[in-house]
Amino acid sequence: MRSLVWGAAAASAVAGVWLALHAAGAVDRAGRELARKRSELDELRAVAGELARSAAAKAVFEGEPGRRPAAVAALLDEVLPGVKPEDSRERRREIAGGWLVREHEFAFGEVPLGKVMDFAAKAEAQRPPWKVTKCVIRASPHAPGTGRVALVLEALEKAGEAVPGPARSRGGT
Amino acid sequence: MNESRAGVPWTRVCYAADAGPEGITFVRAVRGRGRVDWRAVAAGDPSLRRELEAGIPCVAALSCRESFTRGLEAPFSATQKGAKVLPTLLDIQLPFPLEACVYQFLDLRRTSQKTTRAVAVCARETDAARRLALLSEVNVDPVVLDQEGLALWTQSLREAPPAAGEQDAFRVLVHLRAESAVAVIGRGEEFLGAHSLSRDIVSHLGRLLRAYGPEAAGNGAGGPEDAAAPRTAWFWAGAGADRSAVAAMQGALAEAWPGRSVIHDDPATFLVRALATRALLPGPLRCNLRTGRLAHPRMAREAGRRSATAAGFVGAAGLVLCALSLTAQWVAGSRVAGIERAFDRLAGEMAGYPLAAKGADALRTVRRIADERQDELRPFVFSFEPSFTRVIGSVLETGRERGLRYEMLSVSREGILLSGVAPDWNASTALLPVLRRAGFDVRLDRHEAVDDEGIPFTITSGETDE
Repeated sequence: MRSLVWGAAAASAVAGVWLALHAAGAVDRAGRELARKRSELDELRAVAGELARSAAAKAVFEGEPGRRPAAVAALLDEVLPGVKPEDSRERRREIAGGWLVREHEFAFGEVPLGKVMDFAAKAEAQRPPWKVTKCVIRASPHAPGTGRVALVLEALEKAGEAVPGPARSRGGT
Repeated sequence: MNESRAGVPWTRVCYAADAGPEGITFVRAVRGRGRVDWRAVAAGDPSLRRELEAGIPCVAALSCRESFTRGLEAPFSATQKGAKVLPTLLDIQLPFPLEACVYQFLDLRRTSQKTTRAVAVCARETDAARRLALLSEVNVDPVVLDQEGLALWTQSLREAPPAAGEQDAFRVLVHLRAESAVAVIGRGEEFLGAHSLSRDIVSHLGRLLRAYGPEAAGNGAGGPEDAAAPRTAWFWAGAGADRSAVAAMQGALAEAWPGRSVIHDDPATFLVRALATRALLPGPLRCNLRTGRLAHPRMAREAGRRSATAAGFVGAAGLVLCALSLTAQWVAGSRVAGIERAFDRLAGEMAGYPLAAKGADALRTVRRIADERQDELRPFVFSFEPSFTRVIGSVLETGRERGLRYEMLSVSREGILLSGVAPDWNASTALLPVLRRAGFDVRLDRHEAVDDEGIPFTITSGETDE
């Protein structure tokens, strides 16, 4: 009877030790897998976060449907009266969700640089805003503060639903 | 001395009995908080009978007339190996066969001389059986048969440990009965031997002590310089240890063996207290000579029960280990599965459909889809990024402050290119923090001055169209 009891106890102890060793290996492997999967999940969350921030930016525009960017030519006349760009082009390209990207490119001859920057700032203060996406200035060697300027402005507009809105500035100007 | 256990560890209460010429003496002892509380019980006390019949164990001892102790030394440093030859070493010292004896070897230890030393305690089986029969006549069936000398020694050390300076002194405990006496001799805490004394106790003690060597031989034998040093501590116990008897004997012995003399408290019950304490508490030199054919069936039952309990603990520990292992695996697996589910859910949400791919493959697919969406959303994001007009304004402002003459400035999403001439070598560096604050990772290149016109410089970042 005693040997039977001790046999059962020993079997239980051996099974316990064997399972403990097995579990130690399994837990170790699971730990490594967990670390790898957590790293993948963190990476995925980072991508999702980035995408969410971008979607939030779009949502701001979606929150004001029907608004159109102000007429940029009128702003130019207002800030640089009498100045005609040597070249002026407008392009439109469609992006997802029924939105259009409107792009205005201006090439100015010798102009006061400060005035061009005022024009750009005024365009950016509109709502929805125009945004300077590119600006190339070649300073005039003869007249300080002047130069040739190439300026590209970009604005977003909901295609189809566009309602002409008043040119409204953000800076109170 | 090594701790050992040969008593009744399964219980907190026991009786100890000492059957001597004065009659039988009982104490009832209770273990609690590492000590033993006891009270003397009269042999006719009805509670004694009742409790003994109810299974409260009783312990007794073989006297030094019925048993003896020997110090043995085996020529092996390994105690296990030494233990194997101890019976042979004991056998050759006996005038009767060892097979006719009950014996135990106690306090096995390795010595500095690489030998194994032990204390053998032994009695003829017939003497042990006779003692049991004697006890049986008074309805006592002891589960443990201790040895009187060892019991007296350990109890004396327990109740009166060696005083300072007595660690190497001889210690003599004399247990006096009405018609007999026992002397237990040791050095410090080391047990050396136990002897039954004849009627002429003083001269017998003198012979005994002289037999233990010159150090115990009394004044004059150890050298004149330490002749006055107390080298023997005297302890007295037993029913005959009254003050006058002890004073008389001590007076006769003091001249040759000076030293302090102590009568143990309650000397009449000293031996039974010793037996009860040894039965209930672990400690050195514990023994039970009721072994082999004389073994008490209760001891075997208790040993079996303890074995079963130990087996139960081992089995339970194994089962707990099994449960913990399985739980650990399940927890680890479910945590991995939980992360997998969260990943699949998010990946599906981002892709817009359930993805068959898993892990890194799924991540690649989702990243490709996200990149496509980011391309579509980039114009919206760009609307909220810092304005280039502000950067250009800062560049022009810094140029005015530092006297820089710009030739060309190109700013776009792809990067910046700025060239011009600075009045001195360091003036153009003022632009770097301005551009870095605006998010450009810029590099400044400066060249040697040409025709004293200033220091030409170029600042670039990323790629530009110009």
